[in-house]
Formats: sequence, C-alpha cells, structure tokens
Amino acid sequence: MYASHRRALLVLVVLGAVVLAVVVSRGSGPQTAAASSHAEAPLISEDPRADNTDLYAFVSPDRPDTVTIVANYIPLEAPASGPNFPAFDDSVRYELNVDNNGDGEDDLSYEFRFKTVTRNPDTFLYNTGPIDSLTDPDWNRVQTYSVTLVDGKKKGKGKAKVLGENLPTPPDNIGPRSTPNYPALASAAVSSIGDGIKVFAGQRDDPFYVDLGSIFDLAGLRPFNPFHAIPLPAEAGRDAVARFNTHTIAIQVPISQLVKIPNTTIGIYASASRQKETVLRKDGTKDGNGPWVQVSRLGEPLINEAVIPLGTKDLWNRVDPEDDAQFTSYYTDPEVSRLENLLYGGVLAPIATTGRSDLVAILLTGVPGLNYTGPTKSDLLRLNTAIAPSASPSRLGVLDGDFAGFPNGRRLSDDIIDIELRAFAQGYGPVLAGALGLPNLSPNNLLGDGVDANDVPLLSTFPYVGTPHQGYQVP
Amino acid sequence: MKRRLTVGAAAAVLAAAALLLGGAFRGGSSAASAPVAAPATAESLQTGFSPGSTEGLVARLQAQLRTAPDDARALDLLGLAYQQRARETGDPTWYAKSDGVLRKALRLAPDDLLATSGLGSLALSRHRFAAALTLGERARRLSPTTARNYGVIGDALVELGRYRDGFRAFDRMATLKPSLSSYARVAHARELIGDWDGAVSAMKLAADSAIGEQEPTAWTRVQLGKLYWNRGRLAQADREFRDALTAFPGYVYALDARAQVEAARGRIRPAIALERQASDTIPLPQFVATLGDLYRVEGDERGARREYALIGVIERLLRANGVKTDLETALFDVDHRVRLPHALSLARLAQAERPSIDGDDVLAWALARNGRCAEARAWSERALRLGTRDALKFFHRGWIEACLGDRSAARLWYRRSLALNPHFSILWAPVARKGVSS
Amino acid sequence: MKKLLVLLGVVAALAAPASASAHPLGNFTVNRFARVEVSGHRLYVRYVLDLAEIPTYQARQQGVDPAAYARRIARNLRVSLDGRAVTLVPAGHALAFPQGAGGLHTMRLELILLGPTVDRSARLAVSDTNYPGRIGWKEIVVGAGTKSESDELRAYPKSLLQSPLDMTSAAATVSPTSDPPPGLTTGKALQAPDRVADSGFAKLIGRGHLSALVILASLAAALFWGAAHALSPGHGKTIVAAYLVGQRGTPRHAALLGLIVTFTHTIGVFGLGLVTLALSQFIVPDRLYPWLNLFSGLLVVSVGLAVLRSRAGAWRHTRAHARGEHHDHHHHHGHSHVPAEATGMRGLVAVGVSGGLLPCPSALVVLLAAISLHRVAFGLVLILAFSAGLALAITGVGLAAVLAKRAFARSSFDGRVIRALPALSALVILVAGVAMTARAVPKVGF
Repeated sequence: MYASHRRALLVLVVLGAVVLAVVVSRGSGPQTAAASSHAEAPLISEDPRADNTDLYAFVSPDRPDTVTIVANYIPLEAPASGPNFPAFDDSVRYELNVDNNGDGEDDLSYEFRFKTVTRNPDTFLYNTGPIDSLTDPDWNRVQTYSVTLVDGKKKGKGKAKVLGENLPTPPDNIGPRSTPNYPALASAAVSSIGDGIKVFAGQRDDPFYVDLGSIFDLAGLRPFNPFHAIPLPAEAGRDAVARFNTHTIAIQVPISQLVKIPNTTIGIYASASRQKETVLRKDGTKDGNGPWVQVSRLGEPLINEAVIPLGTKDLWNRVDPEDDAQFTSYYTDPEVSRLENLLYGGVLAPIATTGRSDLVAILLTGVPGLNYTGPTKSDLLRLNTAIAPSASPSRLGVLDGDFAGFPNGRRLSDDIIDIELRAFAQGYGPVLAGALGLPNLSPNNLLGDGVDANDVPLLSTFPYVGTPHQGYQVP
Repeated sequence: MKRRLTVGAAAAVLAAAALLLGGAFRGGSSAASAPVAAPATAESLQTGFSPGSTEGLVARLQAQLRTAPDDARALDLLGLAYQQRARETGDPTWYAKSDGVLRKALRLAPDDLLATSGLGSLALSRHRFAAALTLGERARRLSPTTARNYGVIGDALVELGRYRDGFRAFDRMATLKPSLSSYARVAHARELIGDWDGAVSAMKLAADSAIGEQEPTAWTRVQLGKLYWNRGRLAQADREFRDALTAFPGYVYALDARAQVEAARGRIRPAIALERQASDTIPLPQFVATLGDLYRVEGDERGARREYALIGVIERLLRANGVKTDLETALFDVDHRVRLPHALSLARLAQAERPSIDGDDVLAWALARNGRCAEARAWSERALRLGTRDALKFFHRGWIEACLGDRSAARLWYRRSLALNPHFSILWAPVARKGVSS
Repeated sequence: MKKLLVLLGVVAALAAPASASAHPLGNFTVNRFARVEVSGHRLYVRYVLDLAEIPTYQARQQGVDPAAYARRIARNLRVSLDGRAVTLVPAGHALAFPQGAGGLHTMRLELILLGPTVDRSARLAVSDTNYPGRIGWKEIVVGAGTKSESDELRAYPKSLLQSPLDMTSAAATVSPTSDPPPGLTTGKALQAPDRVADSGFAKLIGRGHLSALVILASLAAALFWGAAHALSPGHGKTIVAAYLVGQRGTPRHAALLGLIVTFTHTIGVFGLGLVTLALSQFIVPDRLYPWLNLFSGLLVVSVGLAVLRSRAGAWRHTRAHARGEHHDHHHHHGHSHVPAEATGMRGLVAVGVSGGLLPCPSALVVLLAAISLHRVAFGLVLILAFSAGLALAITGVGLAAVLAKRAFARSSFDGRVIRALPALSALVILVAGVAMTARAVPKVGF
C-alpha cells in the first residue's frame, strides 16, 4: 500500500476514534425549560369533590319498606390528608335523582348543599382539641348541609321543598386524639328529617373493591394471569381501594314516596353540578352566579370508565340520562369485550363484539321481567322495589340467582367488577341462561379479578357504609 | 503483506464499529407489534389528585410503566402529573420529563387526546404560544366537547393578543364544564376588561373549588390576593397570601407577594427576608429584580447590584436553554437602564413573540425610556385598549405624557395609578408621587 | 498532502468545544450526596455538593471558602450512632468549577468528614439538614460499596420514569470493616464529571451576539454535531458501505455520495420546515416522519433489488464464460471475472438520497427557531454546515469501507470472497431496506 494511502488511513482511524469517543460521551439530554411563571392558571381535568365514584341503591335490609340510596364522591381519598382534610364542596350542588315513570327524566331530585363554617377565624386548623361531640367548640372547620326535594324538575314545574337544614356532618376520622370514639360521632350525624326519611353525609370507608393494579396492567386479572396474552404466574387479587376513604351522601326513603304506581321499578342516578361563569355577565348583578351545569353523573357502575371513550367523557357527564340514546353504539359494540378477546383469546370462548343488545338491556333499559322501565335508553341504576332483600346475599347478584342484587339495583357487597367482566364476556351463568336465554360461554363465566369483598365490614344499619380508616393508622 | 492486512483490518473494524453504532438493524422501542391500548382508566385513577398526592400518583404511574412501557394512557397521565409537579416545585426539569413522556404517548397513539392537549399546556408553560394554539386546536378537532382543550386554546389566544377569540374559548370551556380551571380563566378575563368585582367573585369561586388541594388552593388564594393588592387593599390581600402559605408553606409566589406587602407597610427587612426565601427557592427574574430593588431602597447598593447581576446570569441561561427573550428580563433591562438600545430590541422581540397587552406595555415603556415617546404613546394606547385598570400601565402612560410635555395629562395618569394602588411598584410609586405633586 | 490537510481540518472541527452542557437537573438546583461508611474502626462521611449555574454564581459573588463550607456542612449533617449524636470533623476537601451552560460554571465540592470510632455493630441514623427548601437531588447511601443512583452526582439518571431523589435521611446498621478509607476525586474527573450534554446543535441558533467569531465557531460546532449525529442510528451507513463495497466504489464515489447526502439532507430540512410552517395548523411534524421512513425504506429495497438483478445477470454471464461460451466482451487480461459493472449513477444517487432523506429533528428545530428568532440566514448556514458534517461522517464510513475492501483485495485473500462480496452486499442492502420498510409500515398506521 502506498505511503500516502497509509497516512490517509491512519488519519481516518484517528478521526474515527475521536468521533467515536465524542459520540459515546455525548448524551441526548432534553432541554430544560424556564421555570413556570405565575400567570398560568391550572389546567387540571379532574375535580375530585364533584367526582361521583360509586352509586348504590337497594331495598334496605333492616327496613324493607324503604330504599337506601348511597352516592360516593372523592376518589382515592387518603385517610391521612391533613391539613387539607377532605370535605364536600360548598360550591357544588349534589343531587340524587329518581325517575319513576321510565322516561329517563328526573321525577324526584334530592339536592344537597353544603356550608363550611370556620368557628375561629384566627386559625386555620381543622380542630384545636379533641372533638368529643358534633357541637364541640374544638372542632373548628364544621360543615353542615341542607336537603331539598325538587319535584318534577325536568318538567319545569320544579316545586322545591326543604326537607332539612343545618344538618350535621361528622368530622373526618383523624386520630385517637382528635376524634376519639369515632363511631359515636358518626352515628350522631345520622339525621331523621321527617316523613320516615333518614339522611347522612360525611366521610366513610370506600366500600368499592377492585384489583386496579392488575387491571391497569393491560387488563390483567391475577387469578387468570397464566392465560393472559402476556402470561404471569397466577396470584390472589389485591384490593387497590382498600385503606381508602370516600365521602358518602346517603338517604333512606320510604318506597311509597319514590315509586309511581303501578311501576315498582325506579331508575336512579347521582350527579354533581357547578355554576357556570362566563366572561361577560349579562345580567350585570354583582354576585350573579350563573346557571347550574352538571359536571358529573353516575348511574350504572363503570360506564364512564369502561364504556365511554376519553374524548366523550366531558360530554357524557353533562348530558342527562334521557338523552343517552346517542351513546348506544358504545354499548352495542363494547370496547371491553374487544379487549377480553384480544388479551385472553387463548382461553376464553370468542365473544361477540357487535350487536350486544344484552348490554343495552342490562345497562340502558332494564331487563324484562326483572327491572325493565321501558324503551327509553338511559343510564340509570334500576331497582325493582318489589323484590325483597335477600336473606343471604350473593356477591354475584343476579348471575347467581340472587335477584335482589346487581343489576337489580346495586348493593354495597355486590361484586360489580366480576359481574360486568362476565356480562361483557357473555358468561351470564346458568340462571340467566335458563331464565332469559342469555349466553353462558365457558370459561367466560368464571372471569374475575380475584377480589371478592371490601376490607372493612359494613354496618348493619343506615348508612351501612363502614367506618372510615383513621388518618393516624393509615399514613 | 501483513501491514496491509492490519491496515485493512483496522479500516474494516472502524467501518464495522461505525455501522454497529449506527445499528441499522437495531430494533425499535416497542417489542409488541401493535400497541395494545390500555383499558379505559377508572375515573378514580384518572383523577388521583386527591389531597397532596401528586407524588404518590407519579410513583404509581412510574411503577406501572416500568412493567408495561407502552401504555399510552399511563404515559398521558404521567405527563400531566409531571406538569403538576412542575407547578408545585417550580423545577423545570419536570417539564422536560413531561415532554418526553407525552411525546412517547403520541408516537404510540398519534390521535391521543390527552397527549395532544397535554403537550399544549406544556407549550404554554414554556411560553411557546403559537405551538400551544396549534396543539390546542388539534385537540379540539379530536374532541370538540372536552373542556380542557378550550383552556389551552384560550390561554394561547390571550397571550397572542387575540382577546375576543380567547374569551370566547373561555366561555365555551365554562359552558362545557365549570371547574376551577374555567373559573380562574374567567376571573383573569374579567380583570383584563376592567370588571374587578366580577374578577373577584369568579376567583372566589375558583378558590372554593380548590379547597383540599394544596397547590391549587395556594395558587387561587395568591391570585385573589393580587386582585385585592391591585386595588391597594393591603389587609385583604395579605390575608389571602397568608392563607396560601398556610395551605402550602414555602409557596414562592405567596412569599413574593407577602414581601411586597411588607415593603408597602415600610417593613423593608422582613420584606427582604421573604423575597430572599422566594428567590433562593426559585430564582425567577421578577423575584430577583424585586429583591434588588428592596436592597436599593434599604440603601444597600452592593446587595442591589449583586441581585441585578444575577438577572444577567439568568438571561444567559435562558438563552442557552433555548428559551427566547423573556418579557420579564426585557422589562428589567428597561427599568434599570441596562443597555437601553439593546433593551429596546429585546422588548420588540418580546412583544412580537407575545403580542398581549403586557407585551405592548413593555414595548411602550422601552420606547419611552429610549426617548421615542410619540411611538411609545401609540403602544401604550394599545396596551390599555381593553379597559384594564392596571396601575403600572397607567404609570408608564403618565411618564410618556410627561415626556411629550403634557404635564397635566401626566399628573392625571399618575394620580389614577396611585389611586388604584399607592404601592404599585417599589421603583416607580415614588416617581409617580413626585409627579403628582410637581 | 492536501488530503491530509483537509483531514486535519476536519479533526480540528471535530475537536472544537462542544456547545454548552447545561446542568442536567436545572440551572438553580443545589444537589447533595452523602456516603456514610466505616473504614476499619472509623466512621467517615464522603459528601458531595453539586451546585448548578445560578447558585454557583451567587456563591462566587460571596467568595467560596471550602473550609467554611466544610464546617457548615459538617454541622448540618446530623449523624447519630445508637441514638447518640456524633460530631463530624472536616478532614479534606476538593473543589472545582466545571463548565456549565451559557459560559457559566457549576461547582463541585467534595468533602471527607471524620466521625467517631466504631468498635462494634451500631445503629446509624443520618439526616442531612443542609440547604433546606432548596430544590435538587438529595441522596444518602450507607456503605463503601453501595451503588449511588447518580454515581455520586456525576451522572444523574435520564430516565423519564424516575423522579429526582429526595432522600434527606437514612438509617442502617454499621460495623467495623476492612475497607480502605474514602478518598477525594482529583484532576480531570473532578473538573469534568460525566455531564449530560444537551442537544448542542439546537442551542447554536440562540447564541447571544452574532459576531464573526461566534458565527465561525458556531459553524465549526455545527459541522461537528452533524458528524456526531451521523454516527447515531440511521442515515443508512450500512447501506452506503455495503453499496460501495459491492459496487467497486472508489473514494471518489464515496465523496460523491457524501455530496448527495448533504444536498438531500439540506433540501429535506428546508422542505419539511416549509411544509411544517405552511401546514402548522393541520400537521404535527411527527406525523410526517413515518411516511419519510417508509419512502426511504422502499427506495433502499428498490436499489437492493436492482443490484441483485444485475448480480444475477453477472453470475449467469460468469457461468457462461466458465463454460467457454464465446462472446464479444473486450477483456483486459488480469482482471477478475467479476464484470466491470460500472457503479450505476442512478444507484449511487438513490443510495445517497435515502441516506439524507430523513431530516434530523434537531436540524428542523434549528430551522424553525431561526425563523422565529429572525435569524434565517444564520439558521440556513448552520443547517448547511450540519448537513456537511453529516455527509463528511458518512463519506468517512464509505471511504473506510472502500479502503478496507481494497486492502483485502490486494491481499492474497482469494477471488472467491471477492466475487461473493458484490452479491453479499446486494443482499445486505435488500435486507436493510426490507427491515426499514417493515419497521416503518406499522408506524404509518394504515
């Protein structure tokens, strides 16, 4: 090889080495941005205190002439939340709505408005000493509420009747020093407001139970781990919502006040509304707060989470159940069923992902012979008040032949995750297959997340939802 | 022969090394052939901003993504959570993380709504308003009924000086889903058009909806306090700032605001301590500038110069980080006579990039300080075209009128600015006072 | 000689200082690390303080006295053994001011603090109360061998799935060991810890004053970044090398390829930039990349097929030749029986185009930034320099391939390997093209 060539090659090698060295040491770090400036208003999409997490409705087991409706708000409420102790939002209107003639419109609405008072304006502490009673002056940030019954709101008649005012809420369950003997405090906050109506609003244990950790790991179900598209060893399910609290609004109303003879089935949904404020105030009033806009609602469980796509959630939250026909395609062609096919295709019998009129029935109109309210498609929890409470409830509700359970209303102990997983997978179980001819694919009818009960026991009397976790015990 | 071989081998090795580094056959990021969309997130997990738990949410999502790295929805939520962390800590590296994670989500799912609108709000935080508008519009086309998109769009439009369109977007947001986010924006819009009472009532609603959440409570209280401050209501303003600090100890914007209250009350040393604390935590140009001004008022020239020098350092770093001219740093240069002609070109650039009334006002001020008062007046008129009642903008106008020789007009504007807030500026309130009496 | 000078110039350009490397955690962070360890019977603490640009500037304004820092840090580092507080005594320090962003410096202070004797197993508790309320990385490890996530503040993890560490306290059990005592870093390692260099090319456009010197330096840096970028995945180096090896390419061909790549890349950036601007309402640039990838891949596949086809023809020709069929080729004696297939110009262009087709994102960033900063001319020139650097590196690779092949050709490695090379190269090109296309198709999302 010629000398000049050799030299060139040598330089090339050196060059290459230099470049190599540089490339190896160079990273590709991202640019740092300027620190945030003050003017940016938050763009949070969430609104926890107006966020409906669960709705339950059942004939009260200890008072079977009444119906209990339980609506929970504030998701994943951590017990140790001081100093910002969770409470209801004074500027939100919370509503429990009942449709008793099957047209999807509100016939009765129980509206809850809250008011927080700071007893000692010089301190912002929640409490300045142990709270021994609801009137204890050591309790500094006290929230009370009013209940108003609005009759036939949608029809524009809207007669309103205040059922109770300045009703007490219990404090949050902070710890043995601040809230000793918490159950007594809580039961003192159960109010009877006449006409046989009982009402409660305050912190409770979150009765929902679900293995969120596994489900959001690409729809994993721990007992079914080996059969997933990405297999793992089977495990027992873990309740991701254990050790969390919630804020509950519960009302117990005599059935006679709710139903419209001869219908025994009522449709229920919970909602939360905020007032609209636009830039220009047309009426020119000083403290004019605008009309109420519904910002969240809940009828059947998991619809917002598993059926309605992300880009439609804000719209869905704003719409009233009577207009739910526009969402029918999400029920007839359900995404959840598609996922079940995709991720468990190896072991599940193939699931129909179109034409799912069964889901429309269960979730939008009611099941004929069980809790059917009519052809109007609306997302309501449908409770047939003529069916007596079961002496030994089954967590699988109607799928197990327990007709007092979900989807006939929803009890606190019903395992709606397992029930809905099986329903979406067309594994309705022998009872419904026999009674209504619904498909009972196997082993689809065995699906479940492996979590079958809540971590905290329920109470035997109203409001039934268990004592909240104490902040001191659950850091 | 051997030499040729070795040379040839060396060249071959070199080529091979370069190719290996290049790695034409290196696989792409995701192992799965098609990204499996995660099932829709439960509302509960999607919110997760329960009191003080952004860090918890971040940790949960990070753990989730380590086992399932291509979960677009988790990436979206993490990206938004990172932005919230940036708000809470002021640390800009969270923005870079948010950017990386959201872009990855977008690569996996190009029509992802949350990733698009998340990148939009990120662009806003980085003052890239045109990009934010594009992203916001894109998100809107993906889902015209999602309220968040209109927040992004409206913010961008307002910063780009398109106020009517911006307000329309805010109204749409308020109609779709009233919330803290919409109330705060409506309050800001009302303040811009001079509806102070309306701004306060909307911001109070925002503060009410923020109760229980640390950073949103602190933010809304500070904004409410600033509304009071802008009308010279010191006691009411201070109360809100103290509330903010109770909810969020060490919140820099509250510290800075309290410092100004203390200065207004003549308590310079406590003011300096508070402003020092704010600036040490996050050295924003406006904090550092205020600290310098406070030192000057106290008579500590050395201390003042030290802080002013730091602004120059911050400017260099901003440029090195690819951030274009900052409105605040341009304003500083103009206020403190730092290379005035250069400051004017900075102000022009800042106004061009941010043609809002603030940009207009800074440019007007820069022109005035450079002696071009006729031109300045036109820009000042633009800055006040919405009917905003802003003491500093009034003061700038007064100065311009004085420069143009109209003493009575100058006095009028000075009086108006002092009537709004007698302590509107450490540097300039004394000048306004002198201007009124002269 | 001229060639050498050119090459030297390139090396010089490559050795030019890289653009500013910003502090990876943010310009105002105060980052702290403490390693508590026992050596023999003695407790030591090795403390590292890493100040970003702004705190460094402020510290230097006041004057940095490492001994005073050491005393203060020792005082605020609360260590207790079996519940009893211990005093830490500074025993050594090392101080350096590594380069940071914007021409500023950061500060790296290492301390060795001496603790009490440890004669038996004891319960250790550490709490670092230095710089409370300051944002930054806070890490504490116990034990000489325990791994530090940030490599003692030298290399902060870049993972998007990791939050900055926020450890201000730790507890462990310690006992005497036979480890050597900790030392201080010295020299280069102290001065230039492995900093993460940010995307230097994109920063060039934002330089302060554009004096002639700054422009020249920026161009040199752009050249360097282009070359550095070429060596990261993509830009068809494999394909270029395979093509030149297989097609009896000459150094001139390699250079020509380089030129084509420069041209294509520059045009590509401008084109994409203009498209982005014009359609910025409707298209996010990210969406165009999959299409460009796909097109590149298809182009390479077609080149591979063409070469393979000609190879097949040549093979048939060779076989025919071997069988002694007569034909009218003009042979020069001594050349191998690989036909003198001229490197098709079209093939060369195609390979060059595919190499430069994909605009580098940072180049696009520079173009868009240039337009918005009203520095369009400077931006264009920077991109040209970048593309040239890119091309230079690719040419370099191509040259290396060509020269390597020649070296082998002149050796006594026999003709069979040489004869097989062209076909092999065609196969490599084809496979590479297919791989590119296959990867691009799902991303396009039909």
